Amino acid sequence: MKRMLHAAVPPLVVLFVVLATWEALVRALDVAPYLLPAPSAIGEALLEHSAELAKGTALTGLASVLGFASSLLLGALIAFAFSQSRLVQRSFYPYAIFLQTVPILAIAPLIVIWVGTGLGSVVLVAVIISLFPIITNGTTGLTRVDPGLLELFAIHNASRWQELVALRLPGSVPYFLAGAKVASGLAVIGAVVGEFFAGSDEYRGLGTIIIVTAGRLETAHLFAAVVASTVLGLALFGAVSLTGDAVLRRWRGRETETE
Amino acid sequence: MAEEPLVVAGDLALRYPNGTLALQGMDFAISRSEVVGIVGPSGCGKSTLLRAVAGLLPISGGALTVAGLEPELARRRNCSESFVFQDSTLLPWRSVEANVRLALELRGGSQERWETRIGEALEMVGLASVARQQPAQLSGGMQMRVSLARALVTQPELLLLDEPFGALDEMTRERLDEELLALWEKQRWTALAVTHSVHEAVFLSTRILVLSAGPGRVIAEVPIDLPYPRTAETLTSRELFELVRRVSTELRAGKGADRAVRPEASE
Repeated sequence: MKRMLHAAVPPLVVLFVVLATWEALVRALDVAPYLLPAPSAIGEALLEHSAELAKGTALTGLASVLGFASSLLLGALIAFAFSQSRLVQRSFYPYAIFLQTVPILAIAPLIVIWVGTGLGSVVLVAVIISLFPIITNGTTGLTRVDPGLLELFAIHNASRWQELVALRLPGSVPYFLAGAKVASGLAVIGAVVGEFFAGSDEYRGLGTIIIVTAGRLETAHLFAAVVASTVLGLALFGAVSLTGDAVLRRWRGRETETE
Repeated sequence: MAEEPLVVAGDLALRYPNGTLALQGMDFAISRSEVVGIVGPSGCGKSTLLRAVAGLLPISGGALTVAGLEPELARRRNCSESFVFQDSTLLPWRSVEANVRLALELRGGSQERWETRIGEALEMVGLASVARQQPAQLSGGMQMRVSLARALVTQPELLLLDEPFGALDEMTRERLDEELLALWEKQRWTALAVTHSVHEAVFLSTRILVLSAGPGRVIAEVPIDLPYPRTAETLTSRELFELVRRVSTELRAGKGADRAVRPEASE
């Protein structure tokens, strides 16, 4: 606990200095609030719209978690299929890369046309953007096995099934966890981007708030929504990282350190 | 039953998929309860030979049998084998005892007395007290011991050792060699041990096969008649040094001969 406090002090000092300079400059140069609101104005906006932001954060959070969980499940299934057959992997891998390279901003409107506004579209965008790291990491984890261990299994006449259950699946755990960490951050980004297009009067997530306030030049309000989505992203990433590290510590033995 | 040799090679040749000839014209026979040390210059196919005996690599010429059968068949049918690798090859997510249990699990069969046998195997290598720890919590020497316990828990007839303690410091290696010999005196499995240390080979073996530089071929056999029990004193005994010198001379002669008449790839 003391160590954590110790680690938190330097970045907090940086934050404080940046905010103070920002505040001072905005005041001194008399910058128009719609261009760049002072931190204090953003703070006021956060308080003023707290109810709306809390609801938005809950919605975006729900979409992110649903998207992340779907990616994890779907990605694991795809990685498993890839690891079982070279042919399947060679046939479908190029299309998996498509997930990585497609400009999500370009296809999000399409998804809204097909799926309609609301949670479904938002979750789908989150899945598309967060699926790739799970697939690649998972496939690597399931296929890259220490050749010595494969020989060990062979010498004891292990079946293909035993090799999968006792060697490949548990061996892939650290790879899946690394993929999950990356995917958790991406899922929040995907959800916010999805909400740019899929938001409506019934569905007001953080992305919806950002796009609406940007249109009205309510910049302080926009900043407040950005702060909320950043906090949401950090929270999901933190939760996944901590869970992952705990799993990994058990996986490797209690006294080893995480990297 | 007349003592049939357990492992027999006749004019054995093995070519890697890339075309390189690893072993050629190899002849030897290994009887039950022998510990045969295999020494040779690096790249002479020592490890390859071990893998061929284990049925992990297909041979490309001549004959190789284990208990009268082709190696892979023998492994699956009638000869229980264990392999000790240079690395401990432990599964990091399994506890020490679960790693030892793995060998039994993979072989299947009745689970009767498993826990007792695992306990005994760990006792044998002096690790009963750390049975529930994870491999990462152990030193390199202890990890190798777990690997040894895993190899012995199945009560193998044939133990294949590929530079088993090569990655450890000399002190630890010598101690493990001694322990291995003590176990052999009790259990009398047959063993084929590859090592790059002539000293270690002489200490462990009942007989040594000296291989030529690649493609590997048996160029000399040296029986090791050191008395048992062999201990730390044996390691520094004059008899041992005499044998080490003999094996080393054969090794050097082999390298020279090989340079003079390089056998070309002919079967």
